[in-house]
Amino acid sequence: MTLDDILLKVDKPARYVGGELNSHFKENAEVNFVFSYPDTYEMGMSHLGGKIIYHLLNSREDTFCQRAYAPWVDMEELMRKHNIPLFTLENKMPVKNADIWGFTLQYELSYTNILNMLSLAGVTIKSAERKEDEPLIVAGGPCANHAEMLADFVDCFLLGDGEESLMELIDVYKAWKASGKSRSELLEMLSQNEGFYVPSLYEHKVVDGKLTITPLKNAPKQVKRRVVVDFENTFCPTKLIVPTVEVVHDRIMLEIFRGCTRGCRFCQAGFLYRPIRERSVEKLKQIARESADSTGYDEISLTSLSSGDYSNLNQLISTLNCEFNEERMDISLPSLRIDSFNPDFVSTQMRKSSLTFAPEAGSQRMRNIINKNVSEEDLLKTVRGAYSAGYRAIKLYFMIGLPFETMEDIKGIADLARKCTEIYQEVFGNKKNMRITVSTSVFIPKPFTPFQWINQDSEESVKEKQRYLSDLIRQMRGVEYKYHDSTASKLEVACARGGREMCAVLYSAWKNGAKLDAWHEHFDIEAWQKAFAEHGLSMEEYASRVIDVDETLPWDTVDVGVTKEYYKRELAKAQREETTRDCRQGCTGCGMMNVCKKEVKS
Amino acid sequence: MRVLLRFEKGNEVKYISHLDMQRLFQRALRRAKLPCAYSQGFNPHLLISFAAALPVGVCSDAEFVEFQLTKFIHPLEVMKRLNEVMPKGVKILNAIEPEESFPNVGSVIALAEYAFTTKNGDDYSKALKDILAQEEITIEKKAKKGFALVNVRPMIHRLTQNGEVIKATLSCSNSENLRADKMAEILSCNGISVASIKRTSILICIDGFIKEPLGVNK
Ligand code: SF4
Repeated sequence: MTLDDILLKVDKPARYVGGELNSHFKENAEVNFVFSYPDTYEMGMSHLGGKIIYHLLNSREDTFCQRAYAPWVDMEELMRKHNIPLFTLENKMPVKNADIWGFTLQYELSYTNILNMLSLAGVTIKSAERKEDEPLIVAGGPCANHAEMLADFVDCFLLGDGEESLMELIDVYKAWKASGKSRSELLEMLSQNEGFYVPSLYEHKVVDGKLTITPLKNAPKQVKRRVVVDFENTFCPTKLIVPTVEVVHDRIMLEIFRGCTRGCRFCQAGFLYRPIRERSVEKLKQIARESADSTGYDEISLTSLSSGDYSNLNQLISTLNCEFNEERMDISLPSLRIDSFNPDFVSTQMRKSSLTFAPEAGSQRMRNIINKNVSEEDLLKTVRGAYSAGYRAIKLYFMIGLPFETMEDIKGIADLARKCTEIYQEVFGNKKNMRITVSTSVFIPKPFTPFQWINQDSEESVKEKQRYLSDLIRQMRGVEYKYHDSTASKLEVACARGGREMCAVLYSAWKNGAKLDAWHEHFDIEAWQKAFAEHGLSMEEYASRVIDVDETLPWDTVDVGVTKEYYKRELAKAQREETTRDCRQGCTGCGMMNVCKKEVKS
Repeated sequence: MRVLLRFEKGNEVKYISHLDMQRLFQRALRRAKLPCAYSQGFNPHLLISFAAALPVGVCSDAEFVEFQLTKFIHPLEVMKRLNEVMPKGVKILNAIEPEESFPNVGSVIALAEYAFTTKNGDDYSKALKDILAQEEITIEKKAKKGFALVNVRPMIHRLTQNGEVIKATLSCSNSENLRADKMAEILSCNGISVASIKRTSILICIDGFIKEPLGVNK
């Protein structure tokens, strides 16, 4: 069996062979890096960060960055059957031969894929047992800040923005290679760089349920998250790789700023990417132009955590519209801001379907608790605007199971939906073709948010709330209620907040067959439940645990910049139903003043 | 103006599906900054059409695509500009501006010729003769509802061997079509294992005359 014979038997073989426009080929690079998004090609190639890393590393002459993704089940089966190890898309090089193998951690439900990929590649799964000549396993991305569950498998985490730290990683690696030192010495060398967290250099001890962390061999007490201060001029690829298979986000993702100032208390990204750093309109126009010329995409999405907040949005849109005037370029905002909706900014793509808004909570009280600073008036005004612009279908996103939530707050969701139906009636004169979809997801308390200490709502309580809401909504014609199954969310809490004891659970879950957990059709809760039981642990306990604010947290080694004091203060304010202003209107003292000042100076 | 291109789908891109190939072309046309014509209406789309979808895994130097430009550019200039922006594996081989009366290639396509490279290069003349001697060769084909059994023997027009390559001329019209991957299955059922497949030409039928839509400029 040749690779060709196998490829003919699998679904969408083009995802395994590379050769895309603007991909790279090199021979005899000094450092062979493999970048992996631990999920399928379609997911991985939709991820902006991965493209930045790929082109950044390949901008160095001494380094060749190749890619490898998680194969779909049909491909994996044939690879295992015919002993084909995981290989790169570019050179079909066995990933095992890489010098450095880097993963991005975007969501916890991709962790089993990492173990599976290591095994498919024939790389030793556990860091401690890895041989001298095996690749150095590194991981970055938002979850890397609290991935104690991967501490046994990843040699080194890179925290925060990668644009600078990845370059340092290559430099340190080369220096180490030249020095002839051992693998463990490499790890020590790495730990001396800001943002490099080597988990094996920290001893975690739990006595009487209390955790103590001890740094070893000169490793710093805390590892600081890296922040690229000069975001305007930092590396931004414009000769972007263009996937040949249709992927989830297949367009130019123009990163207009990094960070967010709103301070929604449930949102981890809002804290992990602080402070806000914008690119200028001039710079963005240049990036957009070059990207369009090199890729041929016909859509530009203005990407960030909250694109409507860009300070010169009108100027940016008109500049881009003018630049691409003759080219049928669709310029869109991926997320709509509730308090300043402008139908002109909606892409033609979206125009065909429906408009989505995310009030997140139904009652004002609840929105204050989560610091989603949107009033009901704002929302209804926006909905009226959308209806007046001719939209007939809208989607409203909420979370349930939020901290301090009552049934009254759930009822608020139904009330909001009902008010939307009334506005529809007013605008259109009848309720024909009205489609309002209410979606709820289950709140997940995340590390590095003010709610990191809070328990997740129990499954029973969530079910009751879903039933209640469903009953209320059923009475309204033209309104539909959709909700997500909450089983996976419990697991997500355990993965996000668990300590090193979760490493064994992850290993067992993978051994029990868990993989592609983010894919509904593959998610196997039983494999996980069995794994927890094997180690005397329970998913429920992780989810329902209220953590004492003074306890040492498994992720306390990581200093993301926002202080623990700030999180505590925000939690207390949430309890008092008090809001915190958007820090564009004045600093609220989160702890990142040093960087914010630098930004102001530049 | 109409532009008709013949292009090559090489080894590097043979796993790209027909649909993804269309997307690839649309982006290439944009990169080449060619003034393409779009349809009218609420949701304008590029006026482009591809002839005879190729199964995944098959190479070809007889792919045809037609599109329209809003102003005149010499077809060979179009070809040059596109070749500058194509990924490895896609190469425009020839370009013409068809006469107004010239039909859309896809609508008049009749036959396609393929080269099946065998794995070991043995002499298969007997096996080929046996295939041609059969009166019926039924295979399962996707139909509107589920599968249907179809006799494809009449769709095999020629089958010869030249060194390690077996050449086949197969029906390729809208009403009668024997796909190359199905032909490979028939060959393998007769003990011939195929290493690779390439479409070498497409023949159209206009007013009863069989001919190539456009040759290759070498
Ligand atoms: S330091 Fe102040 S201005 Fe900067 S991100 Fe924190 S709250 Fe906002």
